[in-house]
Amino acid sequence: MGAGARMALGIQRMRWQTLALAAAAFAVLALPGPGLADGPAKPRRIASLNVCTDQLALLLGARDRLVSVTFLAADPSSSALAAEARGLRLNRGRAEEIVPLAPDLVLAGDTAAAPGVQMLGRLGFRIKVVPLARNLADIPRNIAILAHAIGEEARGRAMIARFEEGLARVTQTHPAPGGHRPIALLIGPNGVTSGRDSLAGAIIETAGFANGADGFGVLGVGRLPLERVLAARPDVLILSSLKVSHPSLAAGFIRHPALAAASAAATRVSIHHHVWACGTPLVLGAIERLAHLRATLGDGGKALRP
Amino acid sequence: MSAALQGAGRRRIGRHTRQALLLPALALVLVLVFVLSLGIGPAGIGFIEALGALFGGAGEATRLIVLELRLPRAILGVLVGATLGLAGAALQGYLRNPLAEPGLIGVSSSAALGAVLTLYTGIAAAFTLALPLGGVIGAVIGVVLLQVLAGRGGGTLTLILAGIAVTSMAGALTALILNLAPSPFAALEIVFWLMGSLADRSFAHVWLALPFMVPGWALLATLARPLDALTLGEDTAHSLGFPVTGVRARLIAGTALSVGAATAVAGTIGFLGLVVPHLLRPFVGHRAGALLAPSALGGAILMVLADIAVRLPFPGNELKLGVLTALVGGPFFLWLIVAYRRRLP
Repeated sequence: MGAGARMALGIQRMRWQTLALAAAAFAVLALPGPGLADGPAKPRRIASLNVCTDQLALLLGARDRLVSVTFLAADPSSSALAAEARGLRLNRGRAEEIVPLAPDLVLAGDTAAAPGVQMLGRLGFRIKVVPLARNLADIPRNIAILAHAIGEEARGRAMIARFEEGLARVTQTHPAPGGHRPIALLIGPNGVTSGRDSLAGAIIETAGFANGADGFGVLGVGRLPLERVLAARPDVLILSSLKVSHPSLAAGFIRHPALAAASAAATRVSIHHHVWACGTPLVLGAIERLAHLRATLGDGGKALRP
Repeated sequence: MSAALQGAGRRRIGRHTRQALLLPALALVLVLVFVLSLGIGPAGIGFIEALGALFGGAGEATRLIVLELRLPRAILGVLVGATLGLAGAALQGYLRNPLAEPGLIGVSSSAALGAVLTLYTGIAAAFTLALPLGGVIGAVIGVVLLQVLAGRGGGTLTLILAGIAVTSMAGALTALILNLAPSPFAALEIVFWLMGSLADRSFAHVWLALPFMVPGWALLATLARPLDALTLGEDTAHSLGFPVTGVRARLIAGTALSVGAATAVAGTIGFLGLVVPHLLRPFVGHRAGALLAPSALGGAILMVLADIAVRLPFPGNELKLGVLTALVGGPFFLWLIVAYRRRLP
């Protein structure tokens, strides 16, 4: 690169920086709300940048105050509340989409859309990060965090109480077996599975199964090659199914003839993809279904392999 | 003088026996690597147990793993490798260009584009053969574009530059389609289409590709004698009774059918078609036609070996095939360029 070109590039870069600064200054000056340290007690304009905070906010009855949710919230493959999310303005986690909406609260997850969230933070928006649920105890914690942030503490407390009551009821009706547990293995598109330290793993354990993914040392969310799925010989194969299956190689994984042959030997159950992703009270339905299935297997099932 | 003649005769016999032994030797090696491939995988099944599964022994899970996962994978390795080796040898022979190869000249990437178009729009789900057909049509467009841009005897540089242009265009369009596809997984699958893989393929893919590959191979095989004649120049070949336009049509159709179908089920796999003919050329002398059959076998061997190698370093999270073939083929390509430049004045 010649010196002239480098200089031109430098000038261009400077120009962009000036522009960005001006835009930031404009955002801070012109928009109401952002810039204040704690904001109003009950935020009126909430933007959500994470599919799990989308759903929790909807469940807590904040639909009227949501100025935007993620595009995933309206996709029935990723969200249990796609119907409720319809009609809301959808975002893809970019700061540019959020700034003009002038939210007085931005809800974010701790992993997704990081650059967008960071930018919003720099621009002075009030941001509440709700961490990913990695076990069942994280669900009431997240409900409490979010309910407090949006000023719906009473509804939050009621939701937590209902959730814990429901969980207690399931574990009482179908107590986890003391001896060996039947093995269940969760398989999603692309061979994605969940092991220890994951919400899906906790759901499987709570339903009284041993998680087949643990035997392969899967931590959190991981991938299993088809060979290992077949070698695990689970008693129950849980397919994480998509409601609308757009064609992809990942979706083809689940249709592999070898998997079909293997699941002929196992009990096969299909539970919707979005259930496994977010720690909301809606996971209770999945736990109940799996626990019921496990109870019908009786003490049968093969011995637990390491 | 008679001693010299006898010497020449011996050398000649030596080469003939070498040629005669070449095909059986390659076939034997292919059988060995094929069997080896059935014994290797992330499930940790013993080698003997895995082979036992072929003959009805072993447990049900093992049988399923060997017969439904490893067997179609090894068969696809043979089919795809043979296709790339054969097409590479035919293209190098016809274009009289040592750097010609389906991956480098953009045929594979345009085939991938065609396959991606049918798969992610849902056409392949509605009509089964649409996937390989998409690959074949993409490959035809790629070859024809190349003919227009570089043509026969258009010079190595022109061909490679045209190949780069076609490859980057097709790659960009593939990425565009995958980004626009509604499936949340599509954008990640670009790695498969650009790098190629045989992981978790099934017999369904074998049956999809085979009906297009076999006629493709047959067409390319008919080129053996015309290619030999073409080494003497187009006019001579014509006077020997080989119509050059017919030869070109068969080359385009054969390459598009076989490479298009191979790419539709395994993604783009580069460099194999480049390396194999060069490795085998010393055994057959500089007769382009005689190189076709050994290159098909050699391609199959190298592909199955590469597919074993991608499974070894990180079992459970295997490499893409293109990573390996490029790691081996890239330096080879550079060496070819250096050697080629040295030969030029």
